[in-house]
Amino acid sequence: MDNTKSSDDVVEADVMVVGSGAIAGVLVCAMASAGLRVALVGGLADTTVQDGGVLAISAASRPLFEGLDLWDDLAAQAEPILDFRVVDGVSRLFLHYDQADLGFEPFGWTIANNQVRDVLTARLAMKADGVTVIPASVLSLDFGTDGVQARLTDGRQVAARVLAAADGINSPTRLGAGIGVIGWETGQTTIVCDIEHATSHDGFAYEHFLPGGPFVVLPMTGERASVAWTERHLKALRLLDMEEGEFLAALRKRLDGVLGELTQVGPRRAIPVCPQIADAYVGKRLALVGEAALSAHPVVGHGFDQACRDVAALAEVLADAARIGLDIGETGILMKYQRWRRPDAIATLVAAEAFNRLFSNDFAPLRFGRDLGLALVNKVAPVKKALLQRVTGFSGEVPRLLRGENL
Amino acid sequence: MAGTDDFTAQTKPDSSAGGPESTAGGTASPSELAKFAAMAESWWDPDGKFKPLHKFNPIRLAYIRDHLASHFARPVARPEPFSGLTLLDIGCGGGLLTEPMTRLGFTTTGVDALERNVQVARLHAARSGLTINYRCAMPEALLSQGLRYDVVLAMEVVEHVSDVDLFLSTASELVAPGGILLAATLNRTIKSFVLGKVGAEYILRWLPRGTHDWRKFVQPSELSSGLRGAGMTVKEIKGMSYNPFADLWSITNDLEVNYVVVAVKPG
Repeated sequence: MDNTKSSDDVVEADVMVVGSGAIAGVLVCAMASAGLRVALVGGLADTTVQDGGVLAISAASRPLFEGLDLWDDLAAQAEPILDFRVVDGVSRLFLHYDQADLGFEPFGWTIANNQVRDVLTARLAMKADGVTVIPASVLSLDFGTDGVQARLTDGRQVAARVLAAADGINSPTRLGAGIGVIGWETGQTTIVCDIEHATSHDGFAYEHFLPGGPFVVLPMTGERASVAWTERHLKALRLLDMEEGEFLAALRKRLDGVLGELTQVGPRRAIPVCPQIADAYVGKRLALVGEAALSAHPVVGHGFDQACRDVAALAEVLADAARIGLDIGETGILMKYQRWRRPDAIATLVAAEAFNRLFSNDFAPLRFGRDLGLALVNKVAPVKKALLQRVTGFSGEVPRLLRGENL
Repeated sequence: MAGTDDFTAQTKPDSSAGGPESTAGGTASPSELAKFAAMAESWWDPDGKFKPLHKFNPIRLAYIRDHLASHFARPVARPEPFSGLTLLDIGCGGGLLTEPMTRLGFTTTGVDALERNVQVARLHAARSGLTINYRCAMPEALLSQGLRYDVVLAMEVVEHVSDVDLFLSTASELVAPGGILLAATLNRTIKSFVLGKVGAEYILRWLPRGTHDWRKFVQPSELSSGLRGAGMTVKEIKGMSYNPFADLWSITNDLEVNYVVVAVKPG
């Protein structure tokens, strides 16, 4: 550097968070709740953008939001999932859960993406102790032996013990740190859009397995729902390019009257299905969180819950290390996070892929077998419950924030 | 853990070590500084030469912190819970305890008999952005300057001194009234000979051979009576035990190998 910067230009923090999505915001709140000083580089994405799609928060993740004092604000805009039905192809055999299967709690809640960010942005704007939001982007990163330094577009620098990257499936931070991924091509793309319908959905969620991929409808507030329609790439491209009237007709046919008359459809968004997992969850002075670490096939639909689990585990590992005075960015400490989360992530990745391969085809004997399986699972309560737990919850030790405890 | 701060060996002759209170710091040559930097890397590498110490460190740090938090009635969930208090780390080595204690808010002093340890510790503290008063000195020197501390730590060091009673009385005198002292060392038992000496140095190769002289290991009764004789009240004696199958350290009631004594000075 040719000029001497004043110390005002260097923001010092324990943790630097990079990312603009909901998970980056939750991560900041979780770390700050443990007394860590956090710098969020970039701030959360503009919340006025209606980017479509919902985040599904399962009952297992709810304690995290309650513990961070975010739940009341989120619940005001959330829609509970009370009834969950899985249908295979054109057959009438299906798996049906209603909330009585899990006690009287809903399975989970859906909230529009941008509304979650809205709540988080409002929280961050309250300028909680130890939280700095820097509206600039990263120019360059230097992962050193003693800490990580970022140079930002506004000329400032951030110096932190560790960087937590929650910057999405194509995480520039992960790429920059030279951490590769193991992933594969599914040939599938998901079309996401919001719909309005005439009949009340009564908290009804629906997953229809079709040869091209799963067709998922999640309830939203009011007479609205979120559709995630997975098809082979070319079919998905056609769906994306259709005139609105034509798309509505296709959607009506696919919904088969489930939600009554379809009245409106929002903008469509295409998301290629690329299951992948990072080769390492941590690097020198770096931890990967959420989709930067894992992107499982959306067929089991708890990507956001997986990310919440990452947040809770990382915040706990760092908080515990900080409270015995250790340097929280030491490799030994970050490895604890990796050992905690990566095995669960691999299990999820593999289960989701197996589910997808089993259902995204039209091979008759296989269909017969899986339909029989679904029907059997539906009849055998313990199996049904175990499957539900895999889909709505997790295996392994539960982080304190997810057990409803504070850090 | 078999007292891994081997560089603290006050009785071991070492050619590269300056004597206590020798002129430290500013006079070191660049080549010497490079050597210290390399040593700092090895001290602080969690997979390096001091790996066992790094594995052991979180358990003893949590134990120390919990005692200090309850003694001084400070909440551990807040940043820098111990601010306003002073701490002396005797036999600080590379600073593996001194640095965490500094982050927890203490105003810290670290002393070590070996000049090179002090150099390593200073270098690393500067890199970590921590302010620590490191001195190459014997505890007696601090005492003669009239210095007193709210907390005195003598972790994995008692087994290296030549006169245990003198050391214990000096360390105790350095504790301010109402203050607290923690001392950890190795017991002199058959088990400690097998595990702490032969096991750690010859079988697991955690420590360089010759790090410890088993005959200098100190029994809990000797340590406690030395502290009591110096006007301290012994509060607790606990074992720090290694489970080789789980590869985990824990605080136990087994005092046969590694143990820690907590003693307070009446206010």
